[in-house]
Amino acid sequence: MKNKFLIALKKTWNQFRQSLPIIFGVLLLISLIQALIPSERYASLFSGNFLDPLIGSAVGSIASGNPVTSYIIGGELLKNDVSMIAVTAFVVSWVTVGVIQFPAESLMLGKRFALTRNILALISSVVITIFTATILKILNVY
Amino acid sequence: MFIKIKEKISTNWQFFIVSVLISAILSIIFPASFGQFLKIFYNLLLNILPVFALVFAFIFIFDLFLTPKRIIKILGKKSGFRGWVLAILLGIMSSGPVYMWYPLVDELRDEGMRDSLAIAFLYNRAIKIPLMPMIIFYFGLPFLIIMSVLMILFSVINGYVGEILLIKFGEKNENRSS
Repeated sequence: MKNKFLIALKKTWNQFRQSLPIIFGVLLLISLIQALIPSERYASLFSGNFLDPLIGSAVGSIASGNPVTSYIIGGELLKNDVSMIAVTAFVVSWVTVGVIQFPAESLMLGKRFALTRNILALISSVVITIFTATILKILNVY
Repeated sequence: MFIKIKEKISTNWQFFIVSVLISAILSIIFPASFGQFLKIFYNLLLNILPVFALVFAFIFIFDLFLTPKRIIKILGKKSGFRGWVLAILLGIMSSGPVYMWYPLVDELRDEGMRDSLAIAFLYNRAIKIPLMPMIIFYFGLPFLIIMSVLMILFSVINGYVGEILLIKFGEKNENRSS
């Protein structure tokens, strides 16, 4: 049992040690994006026209960080009269698509896996956005 | 010379070095943001430390108690409905940033986890129960319910479609670090 414990511990440590440079690399890139693009700047990207949902998806996919930040920014965008559909696109793509994490994901899980997963997540963020906004409209919530 | 050095350094470390170089170059170009960059990096690091421990414990427990045979039974091709429920629930319950969970998913896939369940697990990480009051505060309860239900639904759709695409285009664990 002791031997099994040590083997498992060694295996886990090796697995973890290999992923440390990737995790620290992602941390650096996320910190960089957050430092260079303060959350207050996001509102200025929306123009109030039909392109807003696409802008929301694109910005949400590239932006990264704690989901809390996306909710706060989303709330502020709604207050600034940015459409619900654009805000939903922004929030959903923020939490499901990871452009910044993509290099790390492809290194650890395979390039095709990461690419397939992120493209599908981006497409579904658009579909979820349309469904959510439509249902909310039908329910007369927004 | 450069190629020889590159060959000696693993892809993971190459990624880290490139990240450091990008950070250094952009910090020189935008020196005003450097302080903020360090502060954010430090805070992120503090935030992920408990998740480090959690993921390490998870991988260790899996390594200790779960044999590949067992993982295949729970999360493999024949795991069926139970496998989906497990992947969705584990995704929703896991905490911390998504990239912290890549080592675990990598390990489980090596041992026989279905790609569709790996995709569903990673997708459901977007649903965070502790953050739900915040979503209700900013967007309302109907928004939370509709978005969460749709996300769970799409995690399954993405899982199925993703697995079909990966099988069709022959994903053979290429470019993986371990």
